Amino acid sequence: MAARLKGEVVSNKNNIDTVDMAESHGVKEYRSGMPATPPSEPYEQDAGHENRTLWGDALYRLRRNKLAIIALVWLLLVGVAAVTADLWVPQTFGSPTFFDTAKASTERFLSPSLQHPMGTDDFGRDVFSRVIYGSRVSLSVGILAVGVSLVIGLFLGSISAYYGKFLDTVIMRIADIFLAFPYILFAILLLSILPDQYRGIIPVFLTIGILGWPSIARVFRSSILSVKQNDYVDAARALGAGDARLMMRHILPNAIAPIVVYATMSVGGAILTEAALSFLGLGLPPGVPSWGAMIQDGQEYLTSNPGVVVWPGLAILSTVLAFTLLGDGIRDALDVKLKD
Amino acid sequence: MLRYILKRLVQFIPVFFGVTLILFMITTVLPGDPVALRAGEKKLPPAVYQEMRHAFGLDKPWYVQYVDYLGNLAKGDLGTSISSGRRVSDIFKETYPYTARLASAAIIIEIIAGIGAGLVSALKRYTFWDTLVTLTTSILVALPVFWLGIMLQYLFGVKLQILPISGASSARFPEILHLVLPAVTLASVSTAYAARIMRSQLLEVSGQDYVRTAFAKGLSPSRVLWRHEMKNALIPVVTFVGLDFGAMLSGAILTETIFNWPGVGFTIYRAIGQRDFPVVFGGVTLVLIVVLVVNLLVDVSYAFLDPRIRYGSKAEG
Repeated sequence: MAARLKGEVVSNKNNIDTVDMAESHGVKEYRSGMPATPPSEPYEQDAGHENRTLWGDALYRLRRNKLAIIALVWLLLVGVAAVTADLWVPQTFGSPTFFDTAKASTERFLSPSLQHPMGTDDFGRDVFSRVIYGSRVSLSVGILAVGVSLVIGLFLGSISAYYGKFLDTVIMRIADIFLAFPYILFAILLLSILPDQYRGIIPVFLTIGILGWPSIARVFRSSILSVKQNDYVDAARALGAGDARLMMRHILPNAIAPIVVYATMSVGGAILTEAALSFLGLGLPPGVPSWGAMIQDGQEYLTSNPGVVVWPGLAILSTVLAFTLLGDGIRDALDVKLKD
Repeated sequence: MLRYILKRLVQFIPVFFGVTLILFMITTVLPGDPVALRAGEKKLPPAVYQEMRHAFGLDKPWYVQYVDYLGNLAKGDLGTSISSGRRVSDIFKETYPYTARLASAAIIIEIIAGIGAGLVSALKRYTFWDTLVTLTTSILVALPVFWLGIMLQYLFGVKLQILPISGASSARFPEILHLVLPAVTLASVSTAYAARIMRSQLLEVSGQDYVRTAFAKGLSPSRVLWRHEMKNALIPVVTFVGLDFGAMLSGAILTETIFNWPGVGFTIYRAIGQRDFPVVFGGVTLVLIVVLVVNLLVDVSYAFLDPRIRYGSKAEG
């Protein structure tokens, strides 16, 4: 961070020198020879190198960010566990949903052991197994919800920024309406529309996704607006590029960085919302293991058996934290400025 | 300035109609019948049932209901609750003070802890304290609020038994103690954001020319900090805290539900469950207006805090 702050101050004055140095000395020397301009410098300087793209640079910087790598490894672990759960979890620790009424009384609220690493719940089901299966819900809802927001937000954000004037006003007013509505309240109302038999993962991620588009649209709109002013856009237009080509070839690739950062962080937010909705009993049908619902179910046994509430909470915390840290890492790597 | 305020009020009109219209459209497709829910297990005689539906205007098409609602609103009438028969305005007159009290307590925590932590973090840059603050804020942002609330209840209410865990008053604890856990829970996420903004703003400001000038003319570091750096760095923090206060005043459904806090969020949430539409509409209308007023106040105060900002000038449009 120190280096970056210093670098920003210095870069304005040394911009021209830096480009010269970088070109004549090659990449390695440029790095060791110019301590005042660390690798997290604005990428314009590196534009002359064919082997160093914005994304290549970003990847290099991301790899050196320990926290972001830890976050990424954690997310991969959770992801692999979620995808492969059917192959090993029920066999080793027991089913996350099925319970034997005859055995439930003797196996309920067992303390953590090798057989049950996080103990068992009020029905004698293995908590670890339920947490793993809960990750399926959280990860898929988180990613799919952001996917929905992205599709709507990128589409509306780009026409808003690109065509300006009337469409811009209409779209941004609609975004205002969405943002003015108390978020959780809106989600609760939308999910209450569905009769019980239709409850499932689809309405949940659709709801969260639909509520999330205005922020994406705004970030993308302002990103496009700032890219649009660049000379290379005018140059491309002067060369006769049409709207579609300008958009796809020149504006989008340069405006996408803030969206990548924002989307990564939003997955964490979507997971939190899903957990809150499940906690309020509006998420998935009862019985499906989801972290929010596990906390809700365990709440009444909190005094005697806090474990059933603590574990799913830690699962949410660690996963959301990982998405935030990864987002932070990508932001630093891409050198994107987002409002906090 | 007056022109700016008027412009903002005009901008609010489509937002208001949009939100209330969407709300009406959602409620028409909601399954469940408020009148039947009010009656509970026993079945109402068809004549009584029809009469009650008529009394609440539920037999009319939704757009007629919407126009009626707007008409009554213009007269200052928010209607009558279907489930309790009480006037909606009375219900919110009773519950609003609780939300306001909770929001005020939370915002005080946010200001003190958030600005304090951000200040320490920026001044002791790259030390243990800075890392601690950064780590804590990251965790707070990733915490599910409802889980934090439950954990606090468990720790302070069940284990240590020093704080009440539910409701706004009891025989055992003074009222102020009832406020502690809900306020901390509600403030948690925003305190983390406030600290982060404070830190990044101070770091950004400290590299500015006028700060170097202030040091160069021999001012003491504390004077530079308070008179020059803070004055500028605080502006975005104040904006954030102000907007957040507006959001808190609109009722915290999760926090209020966990702590059985009889505020606006809890009331609206319960009303959704009972399909008590007049209460839902009244609550949302109230919340919208409060948020609008607070946001407007924040923007106006912005111009006083930062003389560089001029609203309604020609450059602004």
